[in-house]
Amino acid sequence: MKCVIFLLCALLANVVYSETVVDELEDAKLLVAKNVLNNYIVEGLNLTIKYTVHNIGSSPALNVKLQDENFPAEYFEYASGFSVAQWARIPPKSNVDHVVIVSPKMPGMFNLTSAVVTYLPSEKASKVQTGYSTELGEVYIQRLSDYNRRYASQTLNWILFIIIASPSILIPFFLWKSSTNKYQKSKKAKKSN
Amino acid sequence: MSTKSSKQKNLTKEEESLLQDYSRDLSTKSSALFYGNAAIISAVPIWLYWKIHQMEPANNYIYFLLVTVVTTYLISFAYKNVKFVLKHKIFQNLYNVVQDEKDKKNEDRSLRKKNEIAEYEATTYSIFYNNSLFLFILLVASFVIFKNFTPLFNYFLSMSIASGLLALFSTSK
Repeated sequence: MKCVIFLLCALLANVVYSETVVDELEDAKLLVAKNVLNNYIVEGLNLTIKYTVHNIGSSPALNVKLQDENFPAEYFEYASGFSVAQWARIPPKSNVDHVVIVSPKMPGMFNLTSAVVTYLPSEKASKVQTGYSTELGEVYIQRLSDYNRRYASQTLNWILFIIIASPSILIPFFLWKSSTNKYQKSKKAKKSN
Repeated sequence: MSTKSSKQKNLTKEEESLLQDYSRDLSTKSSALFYGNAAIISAVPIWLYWKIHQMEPANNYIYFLLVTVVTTYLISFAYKNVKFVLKHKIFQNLYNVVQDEKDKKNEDRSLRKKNEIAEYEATTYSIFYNNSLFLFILLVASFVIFKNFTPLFNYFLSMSIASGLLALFSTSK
């Protein structure tokens, strides 16, 4: 008897829980991931930012607007893309990407904060939902000279250095060698006679 | 009396030329050659530090100039010392070569020729040897020992050590 009651209670709890979960995901729910695709962030070089918007809800998200004011004109220059992206509709259980390429104007520490996404969670909804992307926190923008010193290819510069330095070594060597050979040869010639 | 004084003058001239041969003092031509070569080899690393260590000449020209001047002096000091030691060794090796030549009768001319050849070979070898050693020490210091230093300190230390060691080694026989 006790077992039957226990089993009935467990079944009831499961049904209630399932209905609650279904209610929560009926509308659209957007999650935004903001990622930096570069290994190094360098002054004057392109920095690629990728925003991925996931709709984990059961309804399409409408009038989606993604806005990122994290790259002001005094510190960054937009090489490709815009700070605002809009989608009329993001279907449920799908995701969309937005890529922006910016170029930092000066070196130093910089705080990469969240982008903001606004959308209507369903066709019937009138209140706009607001969400925030992941944030990357403080990053260090390297000086271009430091980056080049560490990572840039220096093959051509080394070849040019060898070309510049070699006359200072080769010319005295050949002059000395030619003089030595001349008097070595004359010495050998005299000895053989 | 006059012949005796002229003989004394001749002896004095001969003594002077002997002293010139056996001293470390350089003629104007040799000095110019040494300082010119020293200036060139001292300036060559500027390219290295500009392009590879990213030291902009516009911002660092004072340091480049100062270090180049000091290094030029030390390298020319090394040239002079090495040349002096080598000249006597080469002169001794040349003895048997030139003695068999046509102008054997005229010993003075023969000696002068040997001196010129020894001077020439010692000068060229001294420049070659010191330039090679300077660049070798500089590259090891700059890219191995002081690799993680800031470019400016790297420049000061590497150039000082390379030219300093060159001057030091040249004082040995």
